[in-house]
Amino acid sequence: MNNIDKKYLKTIYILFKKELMGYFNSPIAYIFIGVFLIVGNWLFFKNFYIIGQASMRAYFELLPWIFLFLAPAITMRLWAEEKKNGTIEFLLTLPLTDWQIVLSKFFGGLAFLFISLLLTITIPISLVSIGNVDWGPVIGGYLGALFLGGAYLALGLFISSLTKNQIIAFILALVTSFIAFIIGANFVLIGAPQFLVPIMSFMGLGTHFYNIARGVLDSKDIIYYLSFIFVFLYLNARVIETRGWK
Amino acid sequence: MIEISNLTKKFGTNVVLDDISFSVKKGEILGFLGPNGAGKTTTMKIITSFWTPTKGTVKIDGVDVMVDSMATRKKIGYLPETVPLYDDMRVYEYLKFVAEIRGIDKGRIKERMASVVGSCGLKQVIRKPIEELSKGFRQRVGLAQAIMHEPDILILDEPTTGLDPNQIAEIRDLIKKIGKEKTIIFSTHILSEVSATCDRAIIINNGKIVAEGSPGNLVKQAGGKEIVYIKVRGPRDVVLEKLKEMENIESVEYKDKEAENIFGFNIVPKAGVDIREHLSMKVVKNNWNIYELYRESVSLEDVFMDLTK
Ligand SMILES: Nc1ncnc2c1ncn2[C@@H]1O[C@H](COP(=O)(O)OP(=O)(O)OP(=O)(O)O)[C@@H](O)[C@H]1O
Ligand SMILES: [Mg+2]
Repeated sequence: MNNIDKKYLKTIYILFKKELMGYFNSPIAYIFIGVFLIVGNWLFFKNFYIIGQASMRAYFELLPWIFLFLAPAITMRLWAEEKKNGTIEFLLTLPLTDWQIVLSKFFGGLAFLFISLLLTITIPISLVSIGNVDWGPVIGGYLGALFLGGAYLALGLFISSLTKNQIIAFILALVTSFIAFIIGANFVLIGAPQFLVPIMSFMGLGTHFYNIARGVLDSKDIIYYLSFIFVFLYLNARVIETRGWK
Repeated sequence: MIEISNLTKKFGTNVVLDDISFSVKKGEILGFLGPNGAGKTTTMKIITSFWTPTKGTVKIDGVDVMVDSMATRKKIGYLPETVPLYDDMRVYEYLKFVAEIRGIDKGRIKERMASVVGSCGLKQVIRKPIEELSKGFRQRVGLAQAIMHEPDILILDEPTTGLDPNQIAEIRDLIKKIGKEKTIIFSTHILSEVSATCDRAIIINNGKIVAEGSPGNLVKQAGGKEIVYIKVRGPRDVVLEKLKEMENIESVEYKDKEAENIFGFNIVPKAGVDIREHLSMKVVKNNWNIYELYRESVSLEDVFMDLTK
């Protein structure tokens, strides 16, 4: 790798560190993680002993809905705070590209999500005590969760770049993520015009998540998520470049 | 060093900067004056590449900020109007972040941090969370941020607003000290600050430059008018009457009263005439007593108000 690339990445890393530090410098991060763990564990273990299966299927059925709230809660402040503090003027007059800033914010959020997921490790561990675990769907579920979470984050980050208002950013991100998630779900497709069904089923974030969570890694699903993430990070960089926020 | 040509900025149909041109030489301290909404901040944001101009160019050492903004940004230190601080960091964390993101070599970060902490007087707050800092210290941390990477150019947007007089004096000294080696543009509403620190001042109003020159020259351009103030003991109305009868006088007005029978008057002489000798003779002749007599030229304040009405 040549020098320029190294410097480019190093700058992203420095910003990324600052982002991550930003989460853990405030009590809100701990509250988010706490609520995420409590809700997830409670909903899972509530039925776990009744069903008694050594599988995390129920958990991964649930996870996208919890993420629907967690991801917008993470992203709502990422740009709003910079605008409120005036630090945006500092950031955007540094000799950095808009991409570097957008990427560091995205990966900061993803790292936070990753840490939250890491702390759910208690669930697969308790599965072992019950019986033979099929690890394929467990690993697939976590991988899918990261991709899905990344997609939610990219969308939410883009939305937060558009406004100074955190509440608006949260609600808009929640609503659009929800739509993007369910658009491919069966109960939606039933009511859709026939010619739209394949498109909608492909576009839905949820369809791809459940594919991966079954433990089947298909490059189609991965490419889908990466494109989804790329599109919204690109739009985000455009908004930042044109200073096009209200 | 900084060359601004035909700079125009519109927000929608609102013309905020209207064909502004000026340049700043290396090592110069330029004061940027103008009433609220004149366009000072907008100009600074364009120089620092926060906004792009609608028309016109800004060149830093001959490099257009629109063509190679990465190069020009490196040469500039910027203190925006709202000091850009992360409230959840401690002062040293913030300064370290600034040093790192500015690409300062790992081995030099400590040295640079120590240097800005020293010159901005931050030693006593270095471990404090930024949200607990007073306004004056926030301003200083902001200034430390701006000089961290030893830029040739400093753009400071109202660096002294909201500070108490002691702090203002300190920041002003700091600017002067830093300004020995650097090119500085700073905006302010305090006119005495301009006379005290700047080599040159530019006054803008409604997005147009209305005056430009050294603070002294600006005052001279305004017509070189002066006022002679005299305080005497004597009957007020009679004194006023007699003063008005004098030669080479444009106007006389009663200004203030110190005690029973002691009154002050402002006299505006005709341009270029020194009336002081005449004046004192007049007082003696009338058997009044002089308590004070001095001459003062029109202040930058008067010029400013005149031009930006
Ligand atoms: N983002 C924006 N969108 C639209 N108009 C703007 C924007 N920013 C500034 N303006 C307008 O530009 C004009 C000049 O503003 P600017 O902030 O440059 O003034 P200023 O000289 O710095 O004033 P002050 O002394 O109050 O700081 C104002 O009329 C302001 O309303
Ligand atoms: Mg301003």
